[in-house]
Amino acid sequence: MTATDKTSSGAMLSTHGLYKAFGGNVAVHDVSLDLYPDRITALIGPNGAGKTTLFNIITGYERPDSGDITFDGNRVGGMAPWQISRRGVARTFQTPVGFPTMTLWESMQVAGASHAVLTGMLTTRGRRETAKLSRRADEILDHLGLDKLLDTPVDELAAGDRKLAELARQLMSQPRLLLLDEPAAGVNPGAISRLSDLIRDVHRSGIALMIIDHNLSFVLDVADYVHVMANGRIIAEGTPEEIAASPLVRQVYMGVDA
Amino acid sequence: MNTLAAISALGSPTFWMSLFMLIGIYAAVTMLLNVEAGWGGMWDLGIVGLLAIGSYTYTIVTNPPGEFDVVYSPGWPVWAGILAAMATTGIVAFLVGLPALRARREYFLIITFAFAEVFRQLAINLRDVTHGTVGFSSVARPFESFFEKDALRGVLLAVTWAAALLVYALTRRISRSGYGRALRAMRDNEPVALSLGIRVSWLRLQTFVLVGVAVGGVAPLYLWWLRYVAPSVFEPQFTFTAWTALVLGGIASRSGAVLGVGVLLLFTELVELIDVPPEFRNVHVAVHPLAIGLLLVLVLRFRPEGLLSERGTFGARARQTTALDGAGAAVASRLRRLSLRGDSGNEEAP
Repeated sequence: MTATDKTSSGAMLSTHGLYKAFGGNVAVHDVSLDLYPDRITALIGPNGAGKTTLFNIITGYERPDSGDITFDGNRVGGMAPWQISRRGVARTFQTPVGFPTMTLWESMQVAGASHAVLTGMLTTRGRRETAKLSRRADEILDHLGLDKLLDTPVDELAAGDRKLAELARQLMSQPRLLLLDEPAAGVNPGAISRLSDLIRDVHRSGIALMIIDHNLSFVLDVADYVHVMANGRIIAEGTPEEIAASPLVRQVYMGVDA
Repeated sequence: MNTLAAISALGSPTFWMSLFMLIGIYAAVTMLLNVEAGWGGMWDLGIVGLLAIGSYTYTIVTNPPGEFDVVYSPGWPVWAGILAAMATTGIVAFLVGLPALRARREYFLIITFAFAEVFRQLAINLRDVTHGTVGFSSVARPFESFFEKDALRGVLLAVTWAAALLVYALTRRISRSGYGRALRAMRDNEPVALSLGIRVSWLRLQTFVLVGVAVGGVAPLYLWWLRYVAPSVFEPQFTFTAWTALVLGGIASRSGAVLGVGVLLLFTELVELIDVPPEFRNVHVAVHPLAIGLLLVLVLRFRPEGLLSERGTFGARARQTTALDGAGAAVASRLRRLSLRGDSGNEEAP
């Protein structure tokens, strides 16, 4: 809970010199970046660049070997995933498996529930909460066009819908910052522009966003600011126009992945 | 003549009362196992160990002082014995859960199985406290001074079923609560559950202790049926029976545990009842586990999810039952649906 005032003014999330190695492989090498809530931030880079590892470190799934993370001026480095989540950082996962035995409605209920789970069961508060969450779920699903699928088991959803369901579920927890891990992967090309619109809507509703994706045209379209990662390092950053024009980025990123 | 013997047993109320009491006890334990293993994904193969802790605690504190040659027999009343059994089992569940719950799936299964065996070995060897392999040949039962033998049996049957009903009500509450959904969420996908702020390790421990306390409460019922306590009662057989019933009835289904226990125990008790000539008795004994195995194979072949399934309990019904929980809510939701149907363009219902 120690507040630090080192944070650059206005940054919601900052990482300072993050370093993580698996055995001899350095996955994340001295990564420092600032994330501002007023712009959609993207992180691009070839496979194995360390993007998902960086996400995992920020959300507590991996412990950094060194370096630190501050969220809202508080140090969150080394906290457990559930602690970071309760501070308002949500994330999606690359493979949108979700909760396969649940219907979409049920998985939305899990996401919004308060955390005093066992004691909540013994009071009437639980029931009132269910009604409240049900309304919130309706609203979100309606907006994402999933309202007809309320009673569909999550593992029976089509791939594209499953991606949206993943987004919907994480929105239920009303995060302040949402990290999207490859939201466009598996979404058919025709639906990508709609996905971009949805992501902009989410951002406009006041949720800070950071996106990892392979689809360069999608990222350059939706993001306001782009960091480029290669071999565990941030090698470039700037507006989508600057990134698109950078010869270094073309060489490293597109040379490997396209 | 053999047929006659079987028929006379079937006609005896004692046989049926005893069988139904056993079904009530197993149903309660299996429903609790379902909360832990079916919904929580914690494959507990040592539930009989918790039953043993509860049983021994109850017997030791309620036995009349001086009746058995043991170091501790305070002679508490029955109600105090039940509370002591629940408390002790809860504490033991907490202590076992701390290390065991760090492991997942088959590793958790092996650890819990080992703990149950350790408790049984302790019961055998701590002779000063547990009376060793002999155990205790009598158990304090409630209402003994109020009712005579046959009536008492009926009263205890009613108490057992009331307890089983209470456990059912508890599981029903769990299945419709955020707690129940959090359990199934962490079983389905632990990383995603964590990302939603669910403190998985704490939830697992809470559940393990909750189940422990409840099993401690069921233990006295089991003893009232058995009327003695000995280490042999707590062999793994009990756990396997509960698990078999759970799989038969449908793991993670709410009513499946009860149905599975009913089917399994009726089946096995009736097989036991068939009278065979002495020269075939060995075969008869061997047929018993074979028949259980066959039942299990048939169910898994033709209904892999069990007689009832998780989808039957939850699925689309989960939303409706939650909404219909209060009569007022039911009317409200119906009105809302009607109004929506008339005006499908505007779904911004309050």
